Amino acid sequence: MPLTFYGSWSLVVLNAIHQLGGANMRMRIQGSTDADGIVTSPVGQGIASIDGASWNIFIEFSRDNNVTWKEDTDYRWPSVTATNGLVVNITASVHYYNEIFEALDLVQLVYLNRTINPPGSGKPPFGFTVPSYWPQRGDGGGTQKGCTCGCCRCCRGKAARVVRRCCG
Amino acid sequence: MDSVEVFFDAGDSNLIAFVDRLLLFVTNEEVLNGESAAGYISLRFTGQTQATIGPEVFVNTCAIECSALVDVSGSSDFVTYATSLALHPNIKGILHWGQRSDRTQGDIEFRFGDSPSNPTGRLHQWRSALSLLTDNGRLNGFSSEFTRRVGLEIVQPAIGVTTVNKTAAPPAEQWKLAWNCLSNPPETQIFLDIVSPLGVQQHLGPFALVADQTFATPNPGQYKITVTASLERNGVTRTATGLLTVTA
Repeated sequence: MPLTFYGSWSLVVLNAIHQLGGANMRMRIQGSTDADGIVTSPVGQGIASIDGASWNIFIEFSRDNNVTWKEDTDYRWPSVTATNGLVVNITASVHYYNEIFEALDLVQLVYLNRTINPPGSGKPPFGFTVPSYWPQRGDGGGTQKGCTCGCCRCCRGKAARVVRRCCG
Repeated sequence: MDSVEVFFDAGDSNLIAFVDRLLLFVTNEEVLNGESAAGYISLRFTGQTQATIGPEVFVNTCAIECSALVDVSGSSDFVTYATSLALHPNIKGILHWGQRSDRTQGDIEFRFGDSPSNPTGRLHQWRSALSLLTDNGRLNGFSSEFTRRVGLEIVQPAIGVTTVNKTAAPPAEQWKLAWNCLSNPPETQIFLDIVSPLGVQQHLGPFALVADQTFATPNPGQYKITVTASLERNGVTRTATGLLTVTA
């Protein structure tokens, strides 16, 4: 099934599209006002703007040297980043002949309508609501060397009793 | 309080993106504009409704309520933004009918079906029931400013009884075409297109829902007459046609 997008988006290639697994693959844009065709950009590059009221992305594969193309199974994964706001990753199935081996992020699209998707400020959110002694997500909490309080250990694997006293 | 409630399929990845995008908006408002909403975003899970155009259309539905105190600077912006984001086709949330509902007929048809290009779906079913109750829109007891704005109205006109009879014999042959299309919203218009055997086309109208029109057939052969009922709602026009032929 094609993936439908509305309005203006940019596209960046995350993984090489042209040949994944045992099949030739391609990504095709259709229905846009300015970017219809096969996406040929290398990894890290892409299309600055794809516009149109409604347009589609097709991911297709060929097993007969590009004579016939069939639609691949593809998925859209919307998410939000602090700088770009609403983005969508497109994942396709990587085919190894008779089996679907894995799914891979092929491209990331950024929604360019800055009224509905204003860019983030880049500053940490909610500084006024989250106390400084709370463990930060993913970084293991406090940073003082040798500290053994719960705040510093709770994000490092083993459960620890969170105490309201901290190295800071 | 100002509030909006947005419904998603609980398995739709747009659901989390919607909440995260709202949180980023609130952060931006705080950091860049010094404003913050005093309110909440809540997630409520429900089953599927049996109501034809109820917002809980999914087997597992998640309702996200965005509420804020209107007197706090930033709160209304927050709810306004939540509404705009939900309505955007890339997000495609479904709004609660009874809370803030800045929607258009196009928004409703995008979510519930019965668009001009695809007259099917839940809204088509709902409008069919409305047609039975209102004589296809002739009666307006269920109509209000709200229903007219969001398209909870009869949008598809219908052709009623049409007859054509010869009223004068050759050489000045004339015919009288009569129609009764009363079972339509009053603003429906009737048009006639008459194509002569020589291919000359006449476009006539608009006419009333119940009327007749006399026309001449100076050339021998078949005349094709198309009766068109046309109804415009919120900038979108839908038509119904009936075809008759007379042989001069």
